[in-house]
Amino acid sequence: MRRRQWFIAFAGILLGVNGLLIFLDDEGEVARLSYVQDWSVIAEKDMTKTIDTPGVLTANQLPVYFDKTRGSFQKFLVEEGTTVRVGEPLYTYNVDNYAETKTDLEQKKRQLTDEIRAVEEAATSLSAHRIPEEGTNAVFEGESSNLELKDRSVETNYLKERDLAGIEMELAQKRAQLESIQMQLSELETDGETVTVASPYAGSVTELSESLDNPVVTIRGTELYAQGKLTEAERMEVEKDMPAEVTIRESDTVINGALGALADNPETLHVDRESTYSFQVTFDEQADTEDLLPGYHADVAITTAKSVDVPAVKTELMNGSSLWKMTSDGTLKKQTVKTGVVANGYAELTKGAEPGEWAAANAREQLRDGTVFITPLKLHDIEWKQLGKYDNVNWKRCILTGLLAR
Amino acid sequence: MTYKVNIIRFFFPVADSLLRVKKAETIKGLWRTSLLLILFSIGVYFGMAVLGIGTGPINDDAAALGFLGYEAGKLWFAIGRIGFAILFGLFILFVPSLIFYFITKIHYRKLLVMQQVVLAVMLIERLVWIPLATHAGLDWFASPFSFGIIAMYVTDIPWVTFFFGSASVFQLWIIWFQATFLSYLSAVKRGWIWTIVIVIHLIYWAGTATLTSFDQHLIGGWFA
Repeated sequence: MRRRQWFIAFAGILLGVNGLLIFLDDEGEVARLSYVQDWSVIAEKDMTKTIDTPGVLTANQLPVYFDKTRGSFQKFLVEEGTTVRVGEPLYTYNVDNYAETKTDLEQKKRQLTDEIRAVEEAATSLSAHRIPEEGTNAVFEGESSNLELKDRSVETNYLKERDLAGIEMELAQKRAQLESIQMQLSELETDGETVTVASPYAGSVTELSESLDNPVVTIRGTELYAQGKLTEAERMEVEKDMPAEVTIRESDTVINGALGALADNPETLHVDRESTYSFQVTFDEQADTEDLLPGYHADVAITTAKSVDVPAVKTELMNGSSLWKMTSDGTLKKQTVKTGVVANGYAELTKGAEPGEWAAANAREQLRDGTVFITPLKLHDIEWKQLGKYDNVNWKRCILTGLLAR
Repeated sequence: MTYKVNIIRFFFPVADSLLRVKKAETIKGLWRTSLLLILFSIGVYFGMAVLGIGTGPINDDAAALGFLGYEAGKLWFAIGRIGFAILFGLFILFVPSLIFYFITKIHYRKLLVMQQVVLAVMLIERLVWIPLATHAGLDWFASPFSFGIIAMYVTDIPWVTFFFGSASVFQLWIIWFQATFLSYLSAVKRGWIWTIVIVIHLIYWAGTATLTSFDQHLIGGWFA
């Protein structure tokens, strides 16, 4: 009996001493291994970082004014809710002072003609401005790099088209206003008393001011925008021209556009109140907005950052700023990495890892730098029906290792 | 009288069982127990393989093979492990008993009873290695039940580490058990028996250390 107690005591002491040695092992005297239960591969992904915020479709409210000094208002020729085209008569007024009105109108006409000329010149010079093609044509192996270079000039061309489109719209408006003035002038000349003011815009009449407060007529234009609000944090991340995707909630239609107007001032400015900044998304030229009406609610996703075909790893595998890489000599390496865009549960790795490498999932205290790693067998990963696929697996070596390993 | 083999009851208490084995004329149930032990061995080693214990050397191809190939490799490893488990069980059961038979002339069947107990204890030791690996990151030669850790502090030579890693409290108990069993059943002088048992174990540890040091070179060499 005494012998047994001695033996147990001896075993206990040995255990204690060993335990202590392991615990105090700071220099890695004791060979360890890491049991990796879960791991994942570093994939090549397109990373986009978006801000999702609600929005609503709106159209511009365009004002039509009445200059009271020109005469006395007679009557409205349209009602609230009427759709009007450019040039359609909106209201009439009696001219007070013929000569004065005529000079006024003519002056306006001159001003507008000048403005139109200036805009036309701007349009032609922009049109004539050639976007320089990217000169360097690097000879790389893959095709994707070539595509990327061309991409840049496509983007610039796109911006140019968009600016041109904006200019053209402005032009059209001014021409319409000119027409309206022209009509008033000619009517003045023929009629002498009553002048009919025509609409410089197309859209639908939303408001007629019975009390003749300016603007007397408000027309909602036909061009749709998506409007929304950004919080302070969101505002810091966005810039004009960032691409945005608008998904109409009720119909799931998706329209592409870009951030057009971005408020620099918040809606309310107060120390104790939240600052919100309004934004507008202008839709792309080819966007189909036919069946859409102002007032439709949508979800707007603004792309704030985008990286294409970059190595990315699931964020839960990140361990601070390092990754546990399962290297090709069977050891675990704690690799410091630099991250780029983080979105959708993935983090872009700008430095430190390549797609195809494996990273081990964090487990408390199980992973040690520089140690051999072992992993459990995951039977569900093997496709049993297609065992013949694995001819690149050195099965002889594996069996032999199993046979001889201690 | 007849002794019916029963490993679990053997330990409670050891002295009684030894007496009964000594007095027995026939031993029954040897083959059944041997078979069960071999199956237990397969179970333990296959379980360890499924957990990945011992797969370190084949992990260098991991990323290159992809998920599927990697798992297939581990499956082959597990199959190889089953082979090892069978060989291991057979060896422990029959080879030392043969050696002791030539030395002590005790009935072979009784020696088999002794080795069955030895095998059972060794398999229990392997079971203990499982949580050591999965929770403490310790390989078999770094088991706190052995002298491997101390060896690692003292020296860097792998062979020495493996040698002392093989010497565990389980092994020490087995030495005591075999020496006691053999001296109880044989007329050979106690001193001799102890020496022989210890020497056999030292050879066994040395063999294990050598195999462990070189098996990677061997296998690598074959497929280089």
